[in-house]
Amino acid sequence: MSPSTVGIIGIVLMLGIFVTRMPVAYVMTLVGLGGFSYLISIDAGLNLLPRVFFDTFSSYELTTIPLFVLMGQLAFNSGISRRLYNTAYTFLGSTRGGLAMATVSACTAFGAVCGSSPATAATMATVGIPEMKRFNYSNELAAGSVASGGGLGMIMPPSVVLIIYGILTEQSIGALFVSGILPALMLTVLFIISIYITCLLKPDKGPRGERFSLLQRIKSLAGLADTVFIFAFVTAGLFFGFFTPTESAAVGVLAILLVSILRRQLSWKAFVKSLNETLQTSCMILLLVAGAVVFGKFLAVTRIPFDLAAWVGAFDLPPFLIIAIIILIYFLGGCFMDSLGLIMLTIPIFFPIITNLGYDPLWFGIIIVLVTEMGVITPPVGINVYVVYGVAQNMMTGITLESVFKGIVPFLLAVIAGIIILMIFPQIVLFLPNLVY
Amino acid sequence: MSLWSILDKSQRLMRALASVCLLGMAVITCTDVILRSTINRPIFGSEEIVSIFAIMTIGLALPYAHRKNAHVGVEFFFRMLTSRNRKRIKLCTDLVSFFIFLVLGWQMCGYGLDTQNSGALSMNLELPMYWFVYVLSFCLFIVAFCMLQDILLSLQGDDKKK
Repeated sequence: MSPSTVGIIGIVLMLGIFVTRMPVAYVMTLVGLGGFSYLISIDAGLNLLPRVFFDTFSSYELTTIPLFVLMGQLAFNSGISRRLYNTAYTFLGSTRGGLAMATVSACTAFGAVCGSSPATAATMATVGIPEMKRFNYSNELAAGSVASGGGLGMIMPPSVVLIIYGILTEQSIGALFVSGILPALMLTVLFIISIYITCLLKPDKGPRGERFSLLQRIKSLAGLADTVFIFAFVTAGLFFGFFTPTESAAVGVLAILLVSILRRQLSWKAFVKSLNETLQTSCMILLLVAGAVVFGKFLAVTRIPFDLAAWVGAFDLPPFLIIAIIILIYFLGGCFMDSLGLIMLTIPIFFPIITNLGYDPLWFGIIIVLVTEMGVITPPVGINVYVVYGVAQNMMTGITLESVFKGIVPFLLAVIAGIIILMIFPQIVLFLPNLVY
Repeated sequence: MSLWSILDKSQRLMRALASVCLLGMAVITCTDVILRSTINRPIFGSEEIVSIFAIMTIGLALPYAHRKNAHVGVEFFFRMLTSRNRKRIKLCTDLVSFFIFLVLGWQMCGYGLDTQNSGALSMNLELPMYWFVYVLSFCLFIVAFCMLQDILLSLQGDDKKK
């Protein structure tokens, strides 16, 4: 059997085992080890395994992940989200659909200190849904805005998905973070526009809220101060080369801890919860990385990524069509699989194609994050939808799963519009990195 | 005291140690940044210390992450199965996962022996790295035992969480 055939059998086998709900990390390790051992030797496979796991767990570059996750968890458990929401609410609450707009804006701001999409969705669901229900917002708009807004946490730096993409493709994490800022802001604006249009067509979906005086609005800006300070300190240090990504994450942890302690908003229980959640998430991500590395070694031996890149190149298709096909694959994959797992599985296959076509890796990274953003809100997997539904159920708001899925439709259209805009104007992604680096 | 309760207590102790190591990573890195930028005296070998803390953090937290089922899996098709078939498939995947971790722990132990025999030390602090390989191997065996416990409980028809 040729290495390519073994590779294809390996991929099919892996997809088959996924159906059993076995953890993706274990499946990639199992198939990667089996395939590598078959093509090289069992001894080589067994020797590869401990080295990959030890090197992954001890990688200094990857220490960024637990630290940024801890930073997000501390922000999540210390009430920063409520202050952000209140500020956005005083500015936008009085317009039609303004509370949903405030939720989306607060999601973007919270994403600046938290790199996790479900954490952002859960936080904002707790804060935003009761307010929107109080002002008789429709279930669809209330839940849809939170679930979709949560996805903004994936694009706004620091983003765990971008860190993983950067490590897998050997791109500067700082440059990727800078690249994410404008697309995240653009998507926020697109979300606000879609809320505006929704409320224009059906005004009863998002009635007007309270109106605040100019003085109250200015006073509310104090709620943004700590987030702006931490985001500016952490990201500016990273962009201008004062910190490495790991250092900026550690400084972010310290800054959030200091702010939370000074404001007396982090109890011991919340602190321990943050640590425990961080340990769980970090283990999940690092096992995924190790599994992806083992699987990647197997793929490299089969030469499938390079053969596929050459094969696609020989077709003479227009590059945008190839990109569109890749995006479609990511979109379909994202419907069934977690974004991190999908990225780790597919980047070794698609990245050579992208570089062969001459596309900028930073641009592709942001596009991929946007596409996987669709995955977190689309059925049947849509993790953010289930997170928001779970939170809404705990609060007994009467929001059904069906209404959450219905509610994400305008936001899904906004994400698609965002992807099209970024495909036509890649400068939106590349402007800031070109300016800074 | 039963073997399972010892396992449970070890897992809790390991989680506490992992939390300390996680905080250690943040503290060492921040101290290094502060000392470097104020008195131009960074901590010697700080990257190595942070890397060692990272191994300890992840390794020691693995049994806890397993207990909390903190892993990504494709749920969609699985949910369509009947409860009986789900249990059967879960038992099979648990068995495979158990063997993966058993092999991983065994190979990690071998890797530790190789590192010890080669006398390899870390670059700056010249620490014997094999100790940390052994610790990781121990953690992987603990995860394997946790998986074995799940399998045995599942076979006994007792699905309740410890």
